[in-house]
Amino acid sequence: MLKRNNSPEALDRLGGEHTETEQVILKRRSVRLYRPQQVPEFMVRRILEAGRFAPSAGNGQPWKFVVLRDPRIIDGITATVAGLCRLFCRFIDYTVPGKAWRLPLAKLFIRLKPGDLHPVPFGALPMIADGRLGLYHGAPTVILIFKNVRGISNVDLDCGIAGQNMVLAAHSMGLGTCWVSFTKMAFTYSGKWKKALGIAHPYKFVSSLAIGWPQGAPDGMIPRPTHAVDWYEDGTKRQVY
Amino acid sequence: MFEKIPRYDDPTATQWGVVAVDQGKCSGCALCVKICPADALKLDGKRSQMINPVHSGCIACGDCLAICSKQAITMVRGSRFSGLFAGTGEGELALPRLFG
Repeated sequence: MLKRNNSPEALDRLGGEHTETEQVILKRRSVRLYRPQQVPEFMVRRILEAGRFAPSAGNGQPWKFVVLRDPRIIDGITATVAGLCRLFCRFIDYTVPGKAWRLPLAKLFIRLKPGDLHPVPFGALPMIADGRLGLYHGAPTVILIFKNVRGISNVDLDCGIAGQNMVLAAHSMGLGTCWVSFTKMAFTYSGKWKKALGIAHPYKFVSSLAIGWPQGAPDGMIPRPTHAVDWYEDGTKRQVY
Repeated sequence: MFEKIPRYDDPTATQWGVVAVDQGKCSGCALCVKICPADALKLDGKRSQMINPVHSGCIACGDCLAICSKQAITMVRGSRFSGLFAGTGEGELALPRLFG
């Protein structure tokens, strides 16, 4: 809990085990295989509350959440994104045998949008195009996160923080989630879904969350790379990992 | 700085993650195959294994390790990119640590 307890006993216990919150954070895995059962409404409302109580610059709360539990809309957005992936792959997937001619155009687009065409999302494009990688992985609930561009300071950051609050709340309840940013294609390269969902200025799409009951037991601790952290203390600097 | 765009299909420039599946422990449930975001695993002879350890698309997310009920999967290495996508300051793999 949040009560300060830095007694030797408390610190000793803390040193020996992770808190419940830490366990949720550390065991969280992105879930891409869901049971068909819908998530009870009250649980989604609770997840939204976790988003509502996220910190934000100047407490601006510059987010708009849209909940999708209608398969026609979820599948429809999926189809739009898959179609756009198919279109883009025709011009840039140079790794397909016989299509090396696509390399110069691929390099041009990679220069223009390096993050979007990093090797990882680049590899995901043909997979989404041909259905090997689902967009929402069969999740029965999707939350779209939009930012209010009129908000305070860095509204994208605040939406990310709110989203992760929702993710952790969901996992603490035994649900699975997955951040899905490929949805952005459906709102950037097409006007169809902005119109269908009534999304207009000042709202712009940021990201989305797939949420559902996981198949199997996907959460658990795994190894992950450490990273150099510069540590300044007592007039010295050291590096820890 | 104008950094080079690496070839995505050149294993020296674009190195993907590698996991190892203990064929003795694997029960063939294929949950790891189904959940892998990179489609990097397959069921072969009723046991799971990497389709192509050299060009796997594996991002070392660890989802396969976590979902395996037999603890049959270990992470061998993470992905590493070069040129325009080079990372820096990466250390060894580690499970969550307590430091207590």
